[in-house]
Amino acid sequence: MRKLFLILAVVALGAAMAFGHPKIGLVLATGGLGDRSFNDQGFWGAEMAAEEIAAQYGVTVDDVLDYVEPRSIADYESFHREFARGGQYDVIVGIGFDHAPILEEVAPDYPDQKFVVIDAVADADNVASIVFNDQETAFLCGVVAAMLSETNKGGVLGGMDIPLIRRFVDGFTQGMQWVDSDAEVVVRFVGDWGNPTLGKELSLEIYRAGADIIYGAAGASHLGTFAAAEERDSWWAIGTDVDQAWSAPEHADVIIASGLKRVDLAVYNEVMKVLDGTWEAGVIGYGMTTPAGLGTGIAFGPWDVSEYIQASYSEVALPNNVVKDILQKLDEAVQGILDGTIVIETQ
Amino acid sequence: MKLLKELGIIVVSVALGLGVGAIITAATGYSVPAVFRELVRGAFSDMYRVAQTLTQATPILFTSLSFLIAFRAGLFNIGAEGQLFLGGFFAAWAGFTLSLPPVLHIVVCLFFGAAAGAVWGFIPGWLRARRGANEFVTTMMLSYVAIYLTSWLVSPGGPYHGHQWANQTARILSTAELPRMITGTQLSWGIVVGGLVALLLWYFLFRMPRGYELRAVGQNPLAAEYGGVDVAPTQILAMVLAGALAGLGGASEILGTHRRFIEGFSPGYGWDGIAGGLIARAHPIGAVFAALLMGALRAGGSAIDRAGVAPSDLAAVFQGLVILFVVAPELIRYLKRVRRRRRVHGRPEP
Repeated sequence: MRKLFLILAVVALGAAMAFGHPKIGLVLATGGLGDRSFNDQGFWGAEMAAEEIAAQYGVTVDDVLDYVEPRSIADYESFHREFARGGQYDVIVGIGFDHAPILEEVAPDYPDQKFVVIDAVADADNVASIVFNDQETAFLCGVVAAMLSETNKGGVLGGMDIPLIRRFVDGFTQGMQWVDSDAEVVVRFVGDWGNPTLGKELSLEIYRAGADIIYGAAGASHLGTFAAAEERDSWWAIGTDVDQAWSAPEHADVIIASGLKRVDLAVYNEVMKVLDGTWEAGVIGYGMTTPAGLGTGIAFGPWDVSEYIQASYSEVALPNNVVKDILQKLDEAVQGILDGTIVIETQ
Repeated sequence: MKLLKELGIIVVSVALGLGVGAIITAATGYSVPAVFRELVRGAFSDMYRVAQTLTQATPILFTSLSFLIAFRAGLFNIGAEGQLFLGGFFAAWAGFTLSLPPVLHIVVCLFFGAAAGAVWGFIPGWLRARRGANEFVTTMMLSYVAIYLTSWLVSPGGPYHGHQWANQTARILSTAELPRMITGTQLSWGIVVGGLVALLLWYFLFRMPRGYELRAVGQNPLAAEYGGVDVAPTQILAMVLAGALAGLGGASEILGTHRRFIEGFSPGYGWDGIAGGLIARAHPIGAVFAALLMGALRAGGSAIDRAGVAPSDLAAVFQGLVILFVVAPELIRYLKRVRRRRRVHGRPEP
């Protein structure tokens, strides 16, 4: 009797899996949704994929996409296990570098589960690690900063003093100095990805040190940079990961440009690869100089110049000839990065 | 009979807490049945969820014991959270620095955790017993010192920033790991250690002369002194034990659950211990059940959030209400007693 029941249960489970729709499990970073940058963009990528799946199977996006917002790194393991244990998710995506060490421990316990991690390399047989050439994006932002700065001094507000954010700082500095070798960069680290208040204080400190344009690379914390820039007409900010003049429109009057990091594209691509059976574990690079050839760039100016220089919703009023000069310089920088005449040094 | 009455009070209190929670849920426009379904499912629906409840209950058991041993001596240990962090850090430190044979390594790491917590309990204990400093204030303030100190130790500028990315130490060696009881869950043997410690504490409190003295000091310090008990050393002992128990909880959490010290790893287990100790009516065996209740509330609360039936804030409201209703009668009784006693002593009230 018991055996029969077991067989029935297995058959039922098999049927449910065969006829069910694909599911995506998304574990966000500790900054959480609402940063209008990194986390939100990762979510949009998953949502975009979920919409396609939902339309195809005649279900809702909520049926396809389940997501969690951890409050601390200490939550990560239980969330990944919670998604992985039932085997009902086709892919589990961890947004953020700090998922990597946890995935290295969790992933081997579920060899058939496909995992994706953004911004770090997790050494496991069933994890696809997505890394971006952030220095390319930051370099372009540096070019814009150097062309616009009147004090010849730029700033970077970093989330934490870690190699990932050092890539932003290095790229930005070299971008500025490529335009003007005397340019200087002031750097501050928040130590937290979700603290706009402290982000604002530190941004004011950078502005007062003489920088007039700050590149924010601190998740939700650099929303404070935009607020700080509002305090004086001569202060500007550069956003990160998405065109923040669009994602944070109330600050479009100070956000002059934004570095682009197509986390949404990466998440979407990985989900689609899982569905069409071409998904593979390992390291996948995004950026101008990677085999993918895309994923980095900048949002600046009123029109798309190339796939690396895209239009921005920025409402900062600049004379037409200035915009043209900057776009030309940016295009020159992009060509240089692509053909290898510009090599960005990172630690 | 007395036990039955206490149990009855607790059941009614839990029901009241859940009832008020339900009213708030309905008033804020969320589905009451859905919230309750997830609360129960999240805590008990299958082996994994039960393991999750037990995982959450483990550190709360230690901090509940920490709270109640001080409480038995008439003292309030509000600083279990900090003792937990400090114990966790030093256990991790011993875990990745020392290299020792398997079982011995675990024992040494647990000892390091307990010792670090004990030091953090000794300071307010000594200040209270010898200088009359209010332990409410000192334990709580020292708690912040410990939390931010360990936070700095593992930050990018600190000396133990192990992983090049996140704010955490290096991973402990495999010899120092408290093994998981069920693979695929986070439940470690830490809960068994916790159960054994609860038994030992019961034996100490109710079967050993020092435990009797400790309780006597808590009941009435003047009478205890008259009866030949050294009050000050007993109070210090109680705080040292309280610190050691919370430190041990941090150690078990790091060695069993996280395998590395992570900045801010505790979502407030130290504070849960205050409620746990009071729910248990300051009895070590009661603490086991109190910790299970609190663990279930935490596991269920996180399921409410995960399933998206209500925001996590509402889950926290449920936890808070249940604790409030269960703890309130005991707390009021205790505060009345303290007031009376301190008036007798002629000491200023806190």
